Amino acid sequence: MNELLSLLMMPFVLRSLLAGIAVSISMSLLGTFLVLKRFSLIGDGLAHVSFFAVALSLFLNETTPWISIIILSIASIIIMKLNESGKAFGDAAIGMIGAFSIALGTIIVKFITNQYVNLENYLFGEIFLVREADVWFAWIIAIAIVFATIVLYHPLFALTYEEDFAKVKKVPVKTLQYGLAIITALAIFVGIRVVGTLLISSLIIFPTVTAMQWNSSFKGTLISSVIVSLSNIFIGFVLSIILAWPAGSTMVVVSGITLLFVYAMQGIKRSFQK
Amino acid sequence: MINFKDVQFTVDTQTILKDVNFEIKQGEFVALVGSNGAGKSTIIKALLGLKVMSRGEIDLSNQARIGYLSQYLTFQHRSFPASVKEVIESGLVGERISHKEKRKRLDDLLSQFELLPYKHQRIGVLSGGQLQRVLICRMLISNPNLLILDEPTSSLDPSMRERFYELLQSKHKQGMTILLVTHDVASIGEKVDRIIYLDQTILFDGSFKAFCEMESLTPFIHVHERGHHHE
Repeated sequence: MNELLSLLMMPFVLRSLLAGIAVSISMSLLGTFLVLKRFSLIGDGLAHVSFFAVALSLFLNETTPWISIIILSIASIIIMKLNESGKAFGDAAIGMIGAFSIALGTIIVKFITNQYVNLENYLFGEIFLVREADVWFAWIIAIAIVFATIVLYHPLFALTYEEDFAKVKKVPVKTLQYGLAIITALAIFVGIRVVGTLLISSLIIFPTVTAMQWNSSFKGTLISSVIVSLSNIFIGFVLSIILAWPAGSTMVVVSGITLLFVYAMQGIKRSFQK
Repeated sequence: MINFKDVQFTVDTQTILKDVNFEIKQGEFVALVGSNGAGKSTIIKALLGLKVMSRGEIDLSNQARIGYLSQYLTFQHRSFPASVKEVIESGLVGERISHKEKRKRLDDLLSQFELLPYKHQRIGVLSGGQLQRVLICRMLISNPNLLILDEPTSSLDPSMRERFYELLQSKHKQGMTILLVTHDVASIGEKVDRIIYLDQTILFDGSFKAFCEMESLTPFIHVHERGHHHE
């Protein structure tokens, strides 16, 4: 136990944990709105796009995050536009953009000459490689999301529950939706450092779906999903250190097991009530 | 309060609405009727600003505070993790009122619609009729002066439906302007000031009595009366 504690206090481990906490707060809050708006796959789509962005940055030998941020923001706006126009169904639009980006990214990777590039870190994440700047960025995004959720709680609820009703009530639906899409893009950009492009959507989906199992209010679901997410990330993090498993994957496995556990408990509770 | 002037709506080459002209004055109770696909919902969406018309003008008074109730209860309405209280209070979005006033309005509506025991329940456990009542409360909590109702009685059982019509009548007496889209001409006819019959364009606009005397329209009333009893 003491060994674990002293390990957790090591600067690079602490840094990773801090990044993980910030990302889990952001993703679970965004996730509640995205999942309930039937838009959770935007995370998957944008994560695929980020693979392309990363490949492009590596190819250009560019270390600034701006390429990724700009590409992700544009992609999130395109996905929203396609979804809005009704010309391509939302899920189909996300699927197409995601697949196209992965394909393009893979081709670009072929041309990268730098042999020290480890793509696996981008696919599955490498939380222990996060830099101080990533931690700062993750916390700025997390605080912005918490702040926006508190200030815009009522309009966001109205919009998520019934878009037409929100429009009639003069809620600026479009602005909120695009804002949500862009902040999701930013959160995903930091999130992929932690769990990688292939697993990021799990941080969006699992906490909300788990919290929905027992909460009867929206506020309860929102708060519980943050708590569930934090606990998943923390347990996954510690387990990954003890077992020397890949951190991102361990977190996702823990998330899945938590959901199954909660689901089973609810089933047992219901059968007793009958 | 509402004025439609030469409104036209086409999608590709298909005409949904053409030459729609009508006016609804403050305090009027108007039923908008017509068969499926006649364009009733399009008129509602245009009025609410949810659809942009191809041509024409729609005037809505600045004083109008709209209460809106939609046609269908979707999967989203039921499966969403929200409590009865939260859904009803969402009708107050964007309005500045005190917590005390909010609580008073909420409790008044909950008791009026027999929903008090469900205040903190998840909407998913409610029956269709109860959920529809929750949405009626959400519409009323902002104290609107114009109600726009798109076939609101579809999920209500006959006794609740009757009570809902009585509620509309009493709101009407208090000066509320109401536009009700319905199939149920037979039971609402006596209660409204005017009936507008729509089939792409307005074919009739007048009293229920005159509507019944229009021989060409009697099949419409009876067909829907029968359909109503089958439910």
